[in-house]
Amino acid sequence: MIKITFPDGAVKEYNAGITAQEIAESISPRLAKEVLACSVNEEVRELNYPIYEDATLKLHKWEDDEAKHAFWHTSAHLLAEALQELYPGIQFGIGPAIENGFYYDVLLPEGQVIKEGDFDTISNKMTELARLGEPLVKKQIAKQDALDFFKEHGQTLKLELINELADGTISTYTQGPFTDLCRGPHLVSTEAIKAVKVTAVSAAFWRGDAKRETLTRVYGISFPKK
Amino acid sequence: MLDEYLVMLEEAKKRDHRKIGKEMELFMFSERVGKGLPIWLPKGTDMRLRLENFLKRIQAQYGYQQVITPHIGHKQLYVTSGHYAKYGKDSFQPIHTPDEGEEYMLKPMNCPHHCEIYARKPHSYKDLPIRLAEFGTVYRYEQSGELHGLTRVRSFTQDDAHIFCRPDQVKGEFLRVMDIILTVFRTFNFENYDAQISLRHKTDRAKYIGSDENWERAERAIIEACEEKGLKARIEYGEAAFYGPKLDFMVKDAIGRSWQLGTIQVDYNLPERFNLEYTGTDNEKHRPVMIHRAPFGSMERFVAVLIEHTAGHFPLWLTPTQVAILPISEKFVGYANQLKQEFYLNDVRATVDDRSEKIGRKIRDAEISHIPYLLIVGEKETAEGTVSVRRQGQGDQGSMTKEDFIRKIQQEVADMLKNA
Repeated sequence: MIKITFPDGAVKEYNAGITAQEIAESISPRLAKEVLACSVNEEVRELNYPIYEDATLKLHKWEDDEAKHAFWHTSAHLLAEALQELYPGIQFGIGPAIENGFYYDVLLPEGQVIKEGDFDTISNKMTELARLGEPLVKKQIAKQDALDFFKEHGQTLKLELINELADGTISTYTQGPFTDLCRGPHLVSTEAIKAVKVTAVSAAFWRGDAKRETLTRVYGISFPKK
Repeated sequence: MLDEYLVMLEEAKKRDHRKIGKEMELFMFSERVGKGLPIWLPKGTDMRLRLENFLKRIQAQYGYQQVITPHIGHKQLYVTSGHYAKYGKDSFQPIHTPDEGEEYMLKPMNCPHHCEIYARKPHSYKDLPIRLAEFGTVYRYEQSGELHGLTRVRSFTQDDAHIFCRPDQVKGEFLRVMDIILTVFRTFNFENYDAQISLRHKTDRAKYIGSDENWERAERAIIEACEEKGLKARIEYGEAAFYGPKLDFMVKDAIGRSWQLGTIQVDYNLPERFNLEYTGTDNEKHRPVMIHRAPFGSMERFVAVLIEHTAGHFPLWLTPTQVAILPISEKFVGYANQLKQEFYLNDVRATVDDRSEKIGRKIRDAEISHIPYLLIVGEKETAEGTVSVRRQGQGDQGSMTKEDFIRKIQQEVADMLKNA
């Protein structure tokens, strides 16, 4: 049995290996529906992260910044998944959550551009994919394996990022056909993303370096409710 | 949620300070002058100076003394402050002079100059706190891709001040600065705000300069001051500046966006680096504490936020043009100009629309320019020395003598500034 300490100081015992999702369900079905992420010992984790030792636990609903961050981070991956389907051959840079929403920097195949007129198509594809409720699966991966994987998939920008990481610290997240180099944290699936819209597009230098490739930065916003 | 967000985005576009700043002729940028270097036009300058005076009056009541320091400083000044080591590489590079080996930097902050002022002569514990204020223009190099209107620029003016005090005075000074900031918020009707206390990262502490003991003391003082003021403050670990913990005020604007405005920062580091001292009650030398604070943050940023919060409908006391005098026809332009002059002598800022346009057009144009009061003048008004008053958003206010109108404006302005 492990001891979980809640923010109000209450301590409850659970079986080792329990997840925040299960703990939320044991508290109330309403809470289980609204919770999006959690903090275990002050570190933000997915709701399906198994807890094996005594820990402090904070459950994050939409109102918490941690929840929004994970939500928009997963939305960035959703955006990438949609773009991968719509623009075969596309290359991915970095796609973080930001203060209000998220973006993904991409290198489009030769001759392709994303204009305002394309926003609806991309938004609709994202909505369609989100409905599939694909789970996000985290995998720890060896550095060489990561390099091989992303090289095979033609993701040369990712190779640069992997080269800067230490072996043993690298992980990927996969939802459906899309895999990204990522540390997390994320939602457990894309199902919670009920409303999503691409809002803007701009240009950005890869690594912020004016001498490097110019990428297309696609901005989006998403919410758990329409 | 999405729908509300999209509505907010649309509204934000309408209030974009770059757009309104251009329409209202407040400020401009020039490629030839350089990106990120705002140029304040007459109307914008008028507003900005008014803001500065507003704050100067409040600060005088709180014992601040204004100083003025040069825009550059010897590179050595910034080596001493520790700033060069941390930021030198990403700054405007040193300026060389014909003299071999002489290197100056554009000042990225005002603190080092103020430290020199403090160090000018010995101080006793009785002299403290010493509060030095300056509307100091600083220069920070930002990547051109990062520049944005007035909110991210390469040159900006801070409503800066540095308080040098004894350790036992820190919390008191903190509370007093919070009073100033809250007075500013009240005057501008910023009702929706919260605070963030920025402390060190819980474990990764390599980047912080200064002793653990001093940091602990400062962090505790901020938390206690917030509690005493009944201020709801969020604690963020890892957000502290490299030289000290701070308290930031985030204001929510009219369409729900959050902006960081006031900042108060405790600094145990600079007094060390500049070897600042005071003689204590024990006749021994002690190190004063430094507190940096900027209620507006910077003039540029504050004006940007104000523009977007009010969509250009600035408070009466601040707006560049308070009154638009609209003569119905050419015949009444003379009277209109007389009014303008009389108003000017009574600190009421007016403009006359002497174009040969129809009155309806004049009214519309004045409303688009966000001028709060419109005075229609025709036959009756010219003969009687009166004005026909319209208030933006409130319609016809009736007729009154020009003297009564002047008094009305003055009273309204005085009421708005009664906290200051």
